Amino acid sequence: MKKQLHPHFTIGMQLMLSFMLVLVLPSCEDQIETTYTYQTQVPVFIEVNAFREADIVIEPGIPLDQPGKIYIYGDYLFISEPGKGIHLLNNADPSNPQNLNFINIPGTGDMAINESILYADNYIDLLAFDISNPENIQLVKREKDVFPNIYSNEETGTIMTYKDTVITSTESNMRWNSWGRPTFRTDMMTLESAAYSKSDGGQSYGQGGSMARFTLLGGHLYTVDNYNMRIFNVENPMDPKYLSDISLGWGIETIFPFKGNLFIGSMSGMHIYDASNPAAPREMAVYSHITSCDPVVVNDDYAFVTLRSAALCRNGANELHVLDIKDLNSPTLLKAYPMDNPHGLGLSGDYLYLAEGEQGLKSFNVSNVMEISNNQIEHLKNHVFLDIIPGPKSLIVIGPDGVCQFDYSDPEKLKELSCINVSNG
Amino acid sequence: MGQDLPFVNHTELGLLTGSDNFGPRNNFTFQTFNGVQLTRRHAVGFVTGLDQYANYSVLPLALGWRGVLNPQNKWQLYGGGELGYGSAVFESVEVNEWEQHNWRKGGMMGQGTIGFRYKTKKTNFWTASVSLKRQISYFYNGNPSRLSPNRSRPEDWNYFEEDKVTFNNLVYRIGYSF
Repeated sequence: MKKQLHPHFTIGMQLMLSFMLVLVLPSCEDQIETTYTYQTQVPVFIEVNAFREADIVIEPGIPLDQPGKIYIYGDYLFISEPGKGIHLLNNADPSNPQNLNFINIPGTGDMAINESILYADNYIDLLAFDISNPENIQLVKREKDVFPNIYSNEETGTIMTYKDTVITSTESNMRWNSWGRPTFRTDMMTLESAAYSKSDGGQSYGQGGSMARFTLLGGHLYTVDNYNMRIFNVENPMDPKYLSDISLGWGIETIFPFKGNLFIGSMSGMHIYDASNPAAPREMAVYSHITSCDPVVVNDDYAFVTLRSAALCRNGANELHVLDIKDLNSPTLLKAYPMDNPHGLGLSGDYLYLAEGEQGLKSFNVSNVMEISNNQIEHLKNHVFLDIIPGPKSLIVIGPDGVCQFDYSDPEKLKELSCINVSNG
Repeated sequence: MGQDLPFVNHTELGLLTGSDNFGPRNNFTFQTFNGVQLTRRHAVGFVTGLDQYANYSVLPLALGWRGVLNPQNKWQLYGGGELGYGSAVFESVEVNEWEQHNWRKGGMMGQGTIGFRYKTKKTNFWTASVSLKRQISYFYNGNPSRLSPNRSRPEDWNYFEEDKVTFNNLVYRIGYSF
């Protein structure tokens, strides 16, 4: 009898406990804790005098971190590090480029090379460096206050710039602060000059890479920011002089010269300017297409434009457009080819090299522009590629992970020569 | 050798219930315990299975315990516990048309159970139980600032949201054990 009582008692207790548990449980709801991490740019105020007085220091070469644009000049490669400066590499042997120097230029975004003078922006100023001896680069000119759009207070000489910052917060509304801030658009390295602009106007220009927001033509330096084109007279390369600016609308991304004309790629289309009077370019035509990110290369008869969908390029399509530009006053679309995720492109003779982002690099024979998709030659998938420069010694391809060079003496068979990896892998 | 411990399997199907922001949720759950009978009252083993949440599947991987209060009776009261990890191995990264990346990661899992079992043969039982189960998971969405973003590098993302979700479940199960 006693033996039976004890288990019953225990079971009863357990039952009651579990019943209490059942009563308590339905009040349990899923819990969500959210943390928001975002990159934003906090404003930094800088006294103009402070950065003007600070020396522009030429440092020993440092590893690439976030390569922006590339310029080829003779045997040298200039690779910009937006916001920080410019790397100088000796590329006499493309299979073994040597990191020479780093020109420390805070607030820089763009560069161009004219004769042996390198132009670069330094916040609101334009700098000119003598690079005739790359082992001994000299600052020769500071053209002041030519990019005044980041002045916060011109009277007190204060500029406002932004510093990249990663913020983690549990406040959801803070995320919206990160929108609409100006950024260095490292994901939008686009345009690239296929044309060798050498011997143009008797001056020898370096060959510019993609985001080429600086370009040279007819003794003048053209720079574009989001809205404006600025014109500098550089007929005396050592002494750039600011002339004027032209308003271009919105979302201007790239500029490059070809045969006396300026092709300006924007988020909404392609502007063509006649620069036969280089001090006062005249708008000839605008080719509008859907809003997208769009690098352009051209030859005598055709312009090749890539449209790409990306977070910053709303409503984009992934396409290669071929335009007939025999009449520069009215470019017409000949054909559109679907692509994966086209970024920069490079044209070398009858061969078009197309950076497909994560899909690598494609090459096409474009002698028949109506049959490009049927004339794909190679598709290299082992790297992420964003932009291409067909250089005199090698095809230079740039991506977020570094800079690679290919031997393209046989345009149908690319041979990898070297890859410089960025420091953060 | 009389010391060889007998093998125990306990396989259960059930209903995983709880409530989220959208109201009550009820989903399928399955688990199987494989272990050894340590003593007349206690067994330990390894537990795996599948927990289905609305559009999220978790693979539990845990150590488990079963204890019986009254092994001598036909109707027995038993309890159990599991501690381990719930894996999001079935989930993949999704990238939408706006280049927004969404992915999920599993987390700690713990469960306590109380139930009855009905003896059919010497070591064969039907079981019915109620459990409280807590499962942690991490849901992410982010907009990359570069191609091929690294998920553990914040600077590869313009914007990055982590939701640490704690699922609190009440689980009803029936099963069979031998």
